[in-house]
Amino acid sequence: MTAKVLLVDDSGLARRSVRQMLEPAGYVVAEAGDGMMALERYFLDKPDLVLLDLVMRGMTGLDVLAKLKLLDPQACVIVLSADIQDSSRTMTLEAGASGFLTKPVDRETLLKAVDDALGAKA
Amino acid sequence: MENPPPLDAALIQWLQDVGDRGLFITDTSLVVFRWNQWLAAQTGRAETDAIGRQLFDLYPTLPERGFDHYYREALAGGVRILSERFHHHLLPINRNLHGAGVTEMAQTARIEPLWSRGVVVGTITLIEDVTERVVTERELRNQIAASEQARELAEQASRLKDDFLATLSHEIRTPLNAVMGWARILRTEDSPRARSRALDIIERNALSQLRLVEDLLDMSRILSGKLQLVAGQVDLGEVVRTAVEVVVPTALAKRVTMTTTCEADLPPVSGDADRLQQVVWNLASNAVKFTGAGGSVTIDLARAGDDHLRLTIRDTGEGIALDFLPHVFDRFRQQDASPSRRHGGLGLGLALVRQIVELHGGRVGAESAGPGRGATFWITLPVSVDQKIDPPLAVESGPVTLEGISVLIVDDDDDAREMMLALLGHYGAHVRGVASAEAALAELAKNPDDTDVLVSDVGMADMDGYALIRRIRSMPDETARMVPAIAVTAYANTDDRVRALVAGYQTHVSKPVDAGVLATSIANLVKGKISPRSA
Amino acid sequence: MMTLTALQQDALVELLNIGFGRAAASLSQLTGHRVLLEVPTVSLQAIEDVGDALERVVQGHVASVHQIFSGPVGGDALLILDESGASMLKELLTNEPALPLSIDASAREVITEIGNILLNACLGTFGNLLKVRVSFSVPHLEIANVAAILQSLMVAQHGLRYALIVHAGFRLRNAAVTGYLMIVLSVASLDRLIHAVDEWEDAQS
Repeated sequence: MTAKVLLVDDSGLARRSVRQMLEPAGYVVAEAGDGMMALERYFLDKPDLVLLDLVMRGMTGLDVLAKLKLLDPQACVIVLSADIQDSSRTMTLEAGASGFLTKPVDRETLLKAVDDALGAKA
Repeated sequence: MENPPPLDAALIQWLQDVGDRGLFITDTSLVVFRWNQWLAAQTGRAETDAIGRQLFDLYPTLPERGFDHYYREALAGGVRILSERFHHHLLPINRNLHGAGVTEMAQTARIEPLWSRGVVVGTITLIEDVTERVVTERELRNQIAASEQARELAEQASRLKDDFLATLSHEIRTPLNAVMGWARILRTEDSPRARSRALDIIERNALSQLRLVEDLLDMSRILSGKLQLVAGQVDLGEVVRTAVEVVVPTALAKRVTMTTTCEADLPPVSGDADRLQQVVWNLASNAVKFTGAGGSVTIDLARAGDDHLRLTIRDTGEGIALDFLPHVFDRFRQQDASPSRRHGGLGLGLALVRQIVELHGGRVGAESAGPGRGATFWITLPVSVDQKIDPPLAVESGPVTLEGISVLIVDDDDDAREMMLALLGHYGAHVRGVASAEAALAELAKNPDDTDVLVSDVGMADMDGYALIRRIRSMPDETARMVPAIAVTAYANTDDRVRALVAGYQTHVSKPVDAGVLATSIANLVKGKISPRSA
Repeated sequence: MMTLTALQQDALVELLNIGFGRAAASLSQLTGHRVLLEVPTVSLQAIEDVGDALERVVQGHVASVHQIFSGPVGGDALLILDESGASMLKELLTNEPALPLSIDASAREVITEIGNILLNACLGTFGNLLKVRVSFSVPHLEIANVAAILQSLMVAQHGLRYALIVHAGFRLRNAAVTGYLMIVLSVASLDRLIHAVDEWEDAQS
């Protein structure tokens, strides 16, 4: 059963480049351009993993993370952000994210993180 | 291999000789292959000692400090800047910077890859000495902090003055109101008892007003240097008795016990009896003022060592808070300055006490175990030495001559001394000069008859003019002891002049010295010299 | 008028060098090419003088990515690229030729993302090293001349403001791209930034 990943990022470019890394590795990819859409898509597509950006218009990534965890405590979320600060990493992990990656991310790092998160979930 | 074209060779030599910064080049194994002249001079490590050696062998602290990481980055193509703020120095180099105490060279540095045809073939490191910048910045920061502090002090002083003015306004108005109120009553009241009472109150308040104004005037005089002290021989025991007499009625009325003890046969002190009485009265009345019913005030006057007297006034009253203790003699300071405070007054009394005592060459102090635990105030005054020498006569007109008069000049400033020697020489005096108080004492001890008049600067570094004259006035040899002396005081400093007279000089001249005035003073002193009276 | 001492300037340059190093690594990853950095230079100007200073070095239209940052040190951060640099970056990233920025939506997206990454790389490094946490707003792209960009920036500004102008030059594929990073701070924020640098220095010793 192939795993489904939901990409949440307001930048089309960011979503495109991550899709280009995940699909050849056999993942099914869904996209959402903002927080509200992300929540909708989560309950419609029921992805196994969410890749979430932090800075977005409207709901922030942290808002989305909190909402997701509230509605589905099992939700598996990896944050993928341009924010390189250590404090941000700590904050997101404490808020319940399963992982934290900084942009731009290379293929190997991304795939490893996704594998690990899905492995832990199973 | 062909010789490189002259331009390349010249460039290589230029890099080597660059005089204002360090430059060294390594290969990809970080083995040094260029080490410039500046580095050789500053590190003490010659070119020949550095070339061919691995950088971390030469400087093992670099990997310890994590700097090997920077060189690896450079080999991977990255430029690394090392600011003085974050790293202080790249290579440990000693540098002597006089007066600033810096012995390590503060540096900024850059580590860059050396590229050749798209490949990194080595690293180049540039080092600049920024020690002076660090020192300058530090000084600037200190200056800014100092001027901040000065500004804060000025603001605080200004705040204190504002508080003082507010208190002053209140203190002046209160008795005035009482006087006016009772004066009105006097107009309307017929009964003798009521009238008598009104007059008492008016008198009391008018007096307290008067005292207030006098305190203010005194303080103002002291501050502007116009306070006149009359120097004389003072029997301190008598002064204490008189001052205490004035306070006793108040003490009795408050049921505060006053006890006075006085050592027998005390020597006199040199000074102004009225002012000293003011000082003792101030301290005694404070002691009574701050002591509650049933308490006691003890006054004691005794010798303190050979040449001082000590007056101690102890009370069992309110005491002084420990953090206020250091400020108790400051102008305008009162422990409780709020409008609802129990004791009125301006907070000038103790400041005046200190000023007057210090003008007499004495010291003041206060002790207390804390609020509610009483207080002790003390003053010490130097004992007077027998100096029955008359002050100079009025200045005479007419040409002055100092023929036959021998003068001893004491001044540690060579130029000033030379000048006075020359000036007085013109008037025909026989002049000698010494550069220190010690030398003057030695000269007088050795040849007391050789000096007719002593002229001394008061502000000398080692022993000053005041200490000198006090020592002279206690010398065993009578001639030396009685030598007439003139003090040379600082321009426009009245305190100096008063102190000089109290310490034992007959007169003074102020800087810049006017030759005519000095010569006339000397002439008058010699003329007015009467044979010393026996003690 | 606040000024930076030479030593403070050196320290800022070192921090920026590290931040830009991170940014260059990101850029390298995005474009797949090696990126070589020049040593950044930094100058402090009152905001009123920035227009003249920038117009001297960048003419015509520029692409400006603007993010507001907040925290103990707060203000505006802008990455300013001239049109040719912006176009080149777009081509390198997408392998498609660039059209004039005003009509090339994909180019605009690329520049915004790059700007976001570069601004985060720089200011995030400051945040990490100086132990000050910064939060960023959504990045906003504007294509206009320098004067217009500064104008829209000044609209919400009150009081005396300073700008740290950082000149960042890098080389990609033998072409030189020059960008300017502009950090606009209030006096209080600038003061806190400088103090953070000083505290960092004290913590080192």
